[in-house]
Amino acid sequence: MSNPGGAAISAEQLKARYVGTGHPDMTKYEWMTNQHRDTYASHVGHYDQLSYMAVAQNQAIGRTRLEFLEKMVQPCGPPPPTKDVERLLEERE
Amino acid sequence: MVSDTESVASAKNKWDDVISTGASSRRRKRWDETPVMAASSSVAATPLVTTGCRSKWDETPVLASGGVGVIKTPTLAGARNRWDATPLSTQPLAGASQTPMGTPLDKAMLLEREMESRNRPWTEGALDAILPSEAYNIVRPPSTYIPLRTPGRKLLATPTPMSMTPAGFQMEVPAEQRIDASVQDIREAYGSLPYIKPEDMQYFGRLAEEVNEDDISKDELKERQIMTMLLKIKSGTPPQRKTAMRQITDKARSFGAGPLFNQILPLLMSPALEDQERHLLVKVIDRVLYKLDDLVRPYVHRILAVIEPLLIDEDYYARVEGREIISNLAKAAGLATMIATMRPDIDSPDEYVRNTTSRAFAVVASALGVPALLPFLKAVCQSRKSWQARHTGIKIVQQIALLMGVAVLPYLRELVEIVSHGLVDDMQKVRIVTALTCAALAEAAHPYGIESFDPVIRPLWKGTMEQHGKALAAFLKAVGFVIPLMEENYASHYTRLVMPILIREFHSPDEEMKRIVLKVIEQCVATAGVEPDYIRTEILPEFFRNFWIRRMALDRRNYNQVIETTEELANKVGCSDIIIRIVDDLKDDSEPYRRMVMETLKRVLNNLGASDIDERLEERLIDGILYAFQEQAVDASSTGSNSFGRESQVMLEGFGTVVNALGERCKPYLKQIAGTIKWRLNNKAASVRMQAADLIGRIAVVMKACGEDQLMGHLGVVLYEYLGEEYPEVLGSILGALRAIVNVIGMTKMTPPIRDLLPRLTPILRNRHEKVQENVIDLVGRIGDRGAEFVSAKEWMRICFELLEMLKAHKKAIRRAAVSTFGFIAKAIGPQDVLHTLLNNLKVQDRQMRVCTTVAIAIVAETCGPFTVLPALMNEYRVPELNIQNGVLKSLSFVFEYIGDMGKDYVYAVTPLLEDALMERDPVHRQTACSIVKHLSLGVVGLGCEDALLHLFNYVWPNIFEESPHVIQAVFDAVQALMVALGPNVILAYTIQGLYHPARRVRDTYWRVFNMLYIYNADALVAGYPSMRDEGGNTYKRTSLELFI
Repeated sequence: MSNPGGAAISAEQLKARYVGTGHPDMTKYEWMTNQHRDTYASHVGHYDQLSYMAVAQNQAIGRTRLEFLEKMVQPCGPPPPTKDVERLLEERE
Repeated sequence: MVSDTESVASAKNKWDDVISTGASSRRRKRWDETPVMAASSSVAATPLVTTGCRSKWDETPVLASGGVGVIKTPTLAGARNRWDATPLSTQPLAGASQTPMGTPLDKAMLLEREMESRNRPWTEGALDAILPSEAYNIVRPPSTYIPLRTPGRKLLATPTPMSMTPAGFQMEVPAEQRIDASVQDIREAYGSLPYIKPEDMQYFGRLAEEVNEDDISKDELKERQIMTMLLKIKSGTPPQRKTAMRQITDKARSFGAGPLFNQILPLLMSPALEDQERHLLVKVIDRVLYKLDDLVRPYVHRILAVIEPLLIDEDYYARVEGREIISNLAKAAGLATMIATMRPDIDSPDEYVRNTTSRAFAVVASALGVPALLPFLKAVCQSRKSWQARHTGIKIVQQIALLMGVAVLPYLRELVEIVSHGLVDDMQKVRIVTALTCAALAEAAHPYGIESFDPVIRPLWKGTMEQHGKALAAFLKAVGFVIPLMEENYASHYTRLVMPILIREFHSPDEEMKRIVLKVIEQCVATAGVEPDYIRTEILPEFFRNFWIRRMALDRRNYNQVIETTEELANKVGCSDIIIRIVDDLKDDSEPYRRMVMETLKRVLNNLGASDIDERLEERLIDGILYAFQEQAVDASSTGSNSFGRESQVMLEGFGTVVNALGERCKPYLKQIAGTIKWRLNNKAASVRMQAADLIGRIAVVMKACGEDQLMGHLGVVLYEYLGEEYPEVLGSILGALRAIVNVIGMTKMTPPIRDLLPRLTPILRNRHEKVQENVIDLVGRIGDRGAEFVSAKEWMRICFELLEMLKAHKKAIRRAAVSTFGFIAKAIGPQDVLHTLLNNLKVQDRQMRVCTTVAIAIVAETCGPFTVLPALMNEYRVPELNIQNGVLKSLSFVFEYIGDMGKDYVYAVTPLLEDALMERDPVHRQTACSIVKHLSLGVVGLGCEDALLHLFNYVWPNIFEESPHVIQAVFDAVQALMVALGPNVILAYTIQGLYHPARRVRDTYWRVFNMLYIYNADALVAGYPSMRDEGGNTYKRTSLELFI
């Protein structure tokens, strides 16, 4: 991967600079979380989108914005348990 | 095959076991369609089994009568071993394999051989070894099968890249993997000892003796092992060195520091050591130190004793390597050990030991951090016991400043405090070194940190009043470096304080003192707080009386320092004050002194211009430079073809600068100057002629500004007459002068007229001298650009052919000028003929020529319109030859890069060609095609060509898994450009399918593409992500996008 200037940068640098970039071992949950956050960021960043959605929901623009911002924390709910944990739970039962 | 059970060999193989029921006495042939024939005597008579190594291919004679396809197998009849499957490998190749980077032919053969050894047909034996014997049948090819061997078909296939393309870098095949390597070669590459040089005999001599490993003690064995490895590292082959280096690193701790350094250190001290060997040994020490870590402590002193002298070596690299070792040693042994070891050397009576020790300490400080060393330094610098210790301590601080530069800033205050009392020490040597340390610290800290110097300012200035001789020089030096750090008013105040001493020291007979005084004056004057009036009245008279004397011009260092200081003074007081004092010295008897004046004039006028020079001074100035220019001594050595020396360069630049600075005010003198130039153009000495021609080049602009067109025309004719010049350097200068004249007076007014001038230049284009080439191509290019109509088309075509040769030039500027001249010529006489010449040139072998030709084609396309070039270019692609096709593609790539959005008219025209190139087997085709797609799509963004681009993208996309770095880079560039042209969501649609592919290799690539999309278009992708269903406790739906009024 290279940055706009053309020089190659490592995976860590890439992740540090562009937090939403992915890697081959990304889980569905992680990727979807990124998508949701990008979506909300886009809504909040474009005033026309924000006002459209506020009208559609019949609430103030400021409230809509706040809702979007709050949703950015765990937008898809808590992370699903990893496979190992699932196995452990089954064993306990 | 399976069915012919009646023909069963007596010597069965396992293929036969499966099927053969009735064994006959005859050996069986699988390919044999006519078993009856096989029963004939010839085969039976061959005692194949006795060879012990049987293969079914042995029976060629019989097969020749039977199978059709098999005849053509390239296998040699008598050959047995598996490498023989490649016919080429039977040739004697020892020479070729020894020199892998030999002639192009060797290289091509080598490549071909490697390719064939990889692609060789499977032998029976190999197949037998791999496949299980059960459940596999050997199927006979249908009897109607005829392999396609028609030559026509071969022609249609991609031309083989091998041996025609210049091969790139190739890894050296390790000895043991070479197919023709003998056991001996392999053993030699690894096992045997390298040759021991006679001067190394004292170190490695014992290795030559044969010993029985059981008879010697463990220690001796260890010693021998180390010795062997060191010898291999020092003078072995690269593979030997590599393995030995690895072994010695791995085993370092088990060998122990003692045995290792007992052998390494004497080697390093050896007087016969070469740079390369020293470097390798330093590398060994580095690695070993890293492994040994604290085990090295007992040997620190011995290592230092050997390494320290490297720190003051003449050779820069030796010093650097010495520093590297000491720094690693300090990290391994720790500060305490280093201090304990070097402590005794600090007050050694031997100056040399103290010098090296202080340098070593500076290295330790930079390795472990200055703060760690500060308490120790403080104690040493205050030592009551011996002045040597104080001297060394302060010298360590000086070396730290020199070594670390601006990195001393955080510790500046501490360092200055530590040394401050040394300025008032009883011993003069300590005072001197302290002053020099202050100078080094101030120089390193410039322009910051004046507040840290508070404790030393008073003693420094006081010292300048009290000291004399060498100590005074050192104190003045420190003052000179501290003043530039000060604020304006302080600088002014302290300058005034020190100035009387400086002026007093103007008279000093000591050369060193003179230089220091000059330097300090330069530094003081440069600060903002010093008033010009003060300089005029106090400094200038004494300065000129003492330093502007002939003797100062004789020594190189004095000469430079006087000029620099004068320049700085002029910056303060203005140029006329200075020039008026020295201008008459242009007529001095001593030539070096005249040069010194000339160089000063050049610098001063460059910095300040000539606006405050009055008429009288102007006359004196012109008079002076003319005199100095004419009176130059002809350097006998440079009458040859070589360029003139630095001395003439000074005169030339000085003259040019003065004339250019005066500008239109030169008009009255131009006749005289031109006369001088003409006179000197006629001189016997080549360097004089060259200098005169160069001078024309420098003053042409001024002549034009003065309206002296007639004079320039005259000079043009004179130069034209001299085009027969035999020395290439001079000819180059004459051409440069002609170009300067043509540039300023224009094509129409030029004398001689262009139609006479250009035919005279055509033969000169053939000159191989770089300077001539550069100047003549510039001149021709300029004429082509501005005045092409003055010359016939035929003449231009002649020039075109000469230009092709120019593309071979080593210098890039020449190639670039040649390439753009093609554009001018094409514009002048139409592209057809030029293009034809260029397309023919694509056939040549030389890569540089082809690359330049492609650029030239692209430039022709740009200047004459792509439609004039594209048809011929695309037609040329049909030639089934690799170089030509690649050349065409490369030209197209440049064309689309140059024409930008004009490309929209040609997208549909070139699409079929690109389709073909992107599907080509040869990776270079695809790579170049990808770069065309890149330039194309960036050019046509938003111009409605998305349908064609999407079509091309479908051809580009399968290439994303390419391995070769250049190809993959080109492919990703193309994808990126298409991302711009098509929008990221189109690419995202292609990308999503592979993001969760089971194969990591696939995922890697697809995420790479995704990341690229994300980095540039994160916001736009929001609309393009696929909609997902919720899953378990997670909401994956992006409901906000479903809101609808």
